[in-house]
Amino acid sequence: MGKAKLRQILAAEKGKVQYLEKQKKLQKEARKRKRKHAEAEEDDDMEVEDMDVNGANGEDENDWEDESESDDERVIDTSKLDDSDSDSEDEDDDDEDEDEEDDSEVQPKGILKASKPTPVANGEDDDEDEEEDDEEDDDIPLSEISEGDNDPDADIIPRQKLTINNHPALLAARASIALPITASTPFAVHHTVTTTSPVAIKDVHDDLTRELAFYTQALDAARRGRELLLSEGAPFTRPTDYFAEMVKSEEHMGRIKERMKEDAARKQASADAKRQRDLKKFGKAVQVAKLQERQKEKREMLDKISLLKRKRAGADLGDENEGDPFDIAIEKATKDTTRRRGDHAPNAKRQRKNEKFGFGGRKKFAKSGDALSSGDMSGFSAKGMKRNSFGGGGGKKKPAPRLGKSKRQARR
Amino acid sequence: MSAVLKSVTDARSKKSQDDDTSAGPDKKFRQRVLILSSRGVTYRHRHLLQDLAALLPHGRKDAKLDTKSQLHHLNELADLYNCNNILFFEARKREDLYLWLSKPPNGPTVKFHVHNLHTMDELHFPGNCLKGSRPILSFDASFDASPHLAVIKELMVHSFGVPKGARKSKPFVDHVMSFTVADGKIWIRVYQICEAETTSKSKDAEDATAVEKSSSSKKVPRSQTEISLLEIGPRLVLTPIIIQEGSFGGPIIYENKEYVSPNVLRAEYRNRRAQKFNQRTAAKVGREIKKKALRLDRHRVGGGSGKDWEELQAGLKDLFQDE
Repeated sequence: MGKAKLRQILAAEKGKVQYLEKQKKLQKEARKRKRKHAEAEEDDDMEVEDMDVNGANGEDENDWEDESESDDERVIDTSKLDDSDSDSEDEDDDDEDEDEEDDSEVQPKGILKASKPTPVANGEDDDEDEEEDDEEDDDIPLSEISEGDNDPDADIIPRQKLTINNHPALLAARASIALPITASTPFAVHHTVTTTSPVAIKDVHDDLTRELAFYTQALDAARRGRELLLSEGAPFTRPTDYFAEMVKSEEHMGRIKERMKEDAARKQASADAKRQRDLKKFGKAVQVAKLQERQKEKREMLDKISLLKRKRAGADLGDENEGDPFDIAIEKATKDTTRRRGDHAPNAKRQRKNEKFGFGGRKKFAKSGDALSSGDMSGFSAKGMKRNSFGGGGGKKKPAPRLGKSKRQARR
Repeated sequence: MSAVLKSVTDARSKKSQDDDTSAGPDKKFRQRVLILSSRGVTYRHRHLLQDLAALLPHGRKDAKLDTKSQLHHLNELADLYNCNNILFFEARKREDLYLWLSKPPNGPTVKFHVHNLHTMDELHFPGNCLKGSRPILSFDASFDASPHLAVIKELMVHSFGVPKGARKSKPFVDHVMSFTVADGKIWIRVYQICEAETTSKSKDAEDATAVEKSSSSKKVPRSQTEISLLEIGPRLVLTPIIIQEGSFGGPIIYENKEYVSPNVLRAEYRNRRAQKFNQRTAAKVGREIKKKALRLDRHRVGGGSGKDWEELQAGLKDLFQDE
């Protein structure tokens, strides 16, 4: 067993995890045993054939079945001892592994047969040792086991990172390189400012608040640094006549300025466009209202003027209104505009009838022409007659051609 | 002759150093950074490297390293260039970028995964600063909370903080580099410091000039300036992966458990899609088989009497409803 331990140590030094191999072998053995048991129950002949195919140890078959489990384990252990080196060399190749196991199993079985009572006790001892070893091996972190496992079908064990945070080593590392900055060291030497309280940012993914936090931190630092430097008498502000190369070249700054201008122009343009859009929304209504107002004004003005003219004419004939002021005349005139037909007052009979029956009178011939309307020539002009007549000498303007059917229907 | 000059200047510099601090610690503050990348970086990675090199006047840019497995060669390289810090960008698969921050010859090494990477060129920020001016390094207080972050902070101070009197450095301060820990990652931003005088000038103008004359400093009084910041770029986020005790070697003294490799993420994504596809194809095949079986039945029936056919149809319906 001492030899076994030595081998284990050697293997460990080589960087091989023997535990894995052992486990693999155990599994394989278990599988084989199960299969054999099953077959043994069915048919012995089949079993022999199978073993012939499998390896060289067909002869030891039956003995192998009779052995107890503890013996089996012992066998496994010894086999591992015998060819741990070769196994470690070709872990991956399963077929070779099996062959080697079979070979190795032959020897110990012979020994067992020869002296049965004593080796059992030995086997028990071995088992104990093995268990101890297992316990030792159990300390290996899961991650390493999952690493070595080549079975693709096995459940993937999530590999957990082992945290390393060696405080003493970190402190030592810092101490080894730390600058000798003390309270007495002038600020001009180190130029470092640390905030009094940690900068807390509520949401790192919110750009505005984050950048604001950085800005305020830097601004505080700049203020404090400036104060300290000025108090130490160190130069801070660059004089206006001090010219030197800048971090960003002239060309680069020009580009930036151009871009800023462009941005400003774009902003202005967008604001203008927005205003225009708003205006357009109300513009139509405003325009209509304005036109209406203008027309109304014009109408009123014309009415007043015409009335004034008429009044003037009346005044020339008989000077009754001469003493009246101008405005009153206009007012009176405007009052009279409500009447449609002529200004003449109704005759006495009509007035009596109006009194008797109420104003309004009959409507029957209200729209028919009378002497006054037929005598009205204001709508007539010779030019107009010419223009409207067919084939007239004027004939400058042709009547608009007849529109298409759809247009005519649309107009209706 | 040069030796003489050197000795003289050395003596002078030593004298000047003795005035404020002893020479010992000042030597410790002297930093030089070797900045380089592996082969196989994309243009964005290269631009980031350029941006950082522009911001670090004490950096020494070197040609791309040929190997990704034997990083210990970097120590020799750093020794060759007299650098005591290494900023090594390792690109993998032309998409993943890792940053190694190391302190050769025997200091610790931190490996980061770089993501949310935006270079100066693509950010279009209006900020700008002097090439070689020393930044103010602003650290989050949570850097001191845990030892691994403390180590990272120390390394960042060394490599990103421009030492006083570095060769190409300018004497003025006009930018801030901020390092913040959020969500287990380190976010890096670079801002320009803009000083603007406030408008209440009429009253204090005379006083200000008097102060200027008396104190001979060209600064405007503190009460009058308003500080604001303009971002310069680049932007990047670093996820620490491991910390090694040695420089590109030695035992791992810290490992980030929360870090998930982008390879794993990609594989998971692909697997999920593959699973979907597999399910669909399996269903399709199953349906085909069922259909085929039923069609055989139909042949046997041979479109004969209507009753059989109806029965078959009903069975078919049931079958597909079950599905």
